[in-house]
Amino acid sequence: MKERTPDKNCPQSRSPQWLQKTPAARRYAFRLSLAMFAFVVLSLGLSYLAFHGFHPKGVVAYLVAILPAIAIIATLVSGGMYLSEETDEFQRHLFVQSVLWGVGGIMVLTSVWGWLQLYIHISQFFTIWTFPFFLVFQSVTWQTLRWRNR
Amino acid sequence: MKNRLRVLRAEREWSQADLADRLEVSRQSVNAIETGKYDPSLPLAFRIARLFESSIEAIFTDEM
Repeated sequence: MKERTPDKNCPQSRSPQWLQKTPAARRYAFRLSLAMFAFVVLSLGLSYLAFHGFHPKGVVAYLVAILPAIAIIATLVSGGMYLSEETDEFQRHLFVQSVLWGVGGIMVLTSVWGWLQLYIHISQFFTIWTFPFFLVFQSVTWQTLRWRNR
Repeated sequence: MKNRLRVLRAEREWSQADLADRLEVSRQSVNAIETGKYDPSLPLAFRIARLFESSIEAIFTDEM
């Protein structure tokens, strides 16, 4: 029988057993944290630049405006890497389920918001919030599924 | 799908964690398979069958 060796880069967690992650999940959590940090820094950086009168023009304007998308792409790539690195098929199954819940959650939220916007004239939903909301739905569902299957 | 995983494991006095280590999966996976919440893939079913020196059909049945 092949012995499972602990990942040196990911020390064992002291959290409850159901919260303990596989080495692949720990790497995913680390990459996700980096991507989210980059997302916040880039988003806030853009706001800072906008408020301080930095108004680039032409192609530069487009490139600067989509900088936070790099962090979003990094998040999606880290999810894909997790799915390819995770050797435990049940854990992969839970992750895929949580992604579906995340997609479903954000579609329901934006649709409901759209109707409320149309008929009750509530404030506009800024589409830049779509990805953070998706990530919240997905993460909460993932942890819930892990807890239910502890 | 029903399975005899819990019985086979109990016969050998293995905990879920013991079986999970032998199969190189998480304990949660063993629990989900035992309780019928999750049906393993064919490769994992073969690994389980080999571990218990049995056939897949002897461990898993498609009775509801």
